[in-house]
Amino acid sequence: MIVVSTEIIPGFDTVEVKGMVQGNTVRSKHMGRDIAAGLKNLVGGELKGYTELLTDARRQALERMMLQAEQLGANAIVNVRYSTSAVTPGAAELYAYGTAVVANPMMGA
Amino acid sequence: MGDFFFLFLNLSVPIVLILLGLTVGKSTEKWHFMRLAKDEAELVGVLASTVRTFPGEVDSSATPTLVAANVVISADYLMSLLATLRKIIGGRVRTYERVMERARREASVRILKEAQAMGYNAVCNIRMETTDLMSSRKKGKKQATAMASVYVYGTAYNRV
Repeated sequence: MIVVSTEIIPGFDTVEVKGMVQGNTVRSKHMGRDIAAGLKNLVGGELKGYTELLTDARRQALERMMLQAEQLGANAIVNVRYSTSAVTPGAAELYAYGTAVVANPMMGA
Repeated sequence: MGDFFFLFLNLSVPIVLILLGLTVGKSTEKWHFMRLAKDEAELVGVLASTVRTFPGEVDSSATPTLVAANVVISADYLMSLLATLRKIIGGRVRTYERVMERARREASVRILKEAQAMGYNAVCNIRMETTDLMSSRKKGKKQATAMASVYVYGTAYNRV
């Protein structure tokens, strides 16, 4: 599956647009990470626990979107955007959306 | 005498935290900026752009792909304290500006590194977003130190 944040894929022809696809996930942080982050808050610096949490969430949103595109029979997703929202205190939603397309390699490329 | 002891006890925690900010926080920040400058110098060969098309001639033998990175950076106690004082008179909150800058630059460096590791030499259509992790604090509860949570994504491709 080709996933890009641009409208076109160089070297490919978009032959069919399958429609919009999206994937989301809501993650909450757990106590252990909160305590570790609380301690880190005193001295400053990167909060690796939260970074990992968000990276995992982002990957899962992307995977869900790709699964949806696969079910539609697409082989690429273009114009992908990520976004977040704070649904409720202590939890963050990450969602990815894009347009599922069928892209064929250009002749002679 | 007893009063002084309790006064000392009450003051010791903030004093230790301020000292931590002055030593650990300051050096972490300095070290981070130095590393960012070094990484950015190494990544000069990777063209980063925010345009929607692919700048330059695209080498279509390598299929473009999405690259993304997250960074969460927290301010230290001293920074938060300075920011709180700043809020009284208003104006630029430089300590938080630096925290945001560190997070954004770090995330950018990470996507460029990821692209480079996958064998690409350019990233276009870069977008930056922030996440809210702070709203987790309950009202009335002591305000936690500020956090900058940034994520950056873009499309990695090969430029001829």
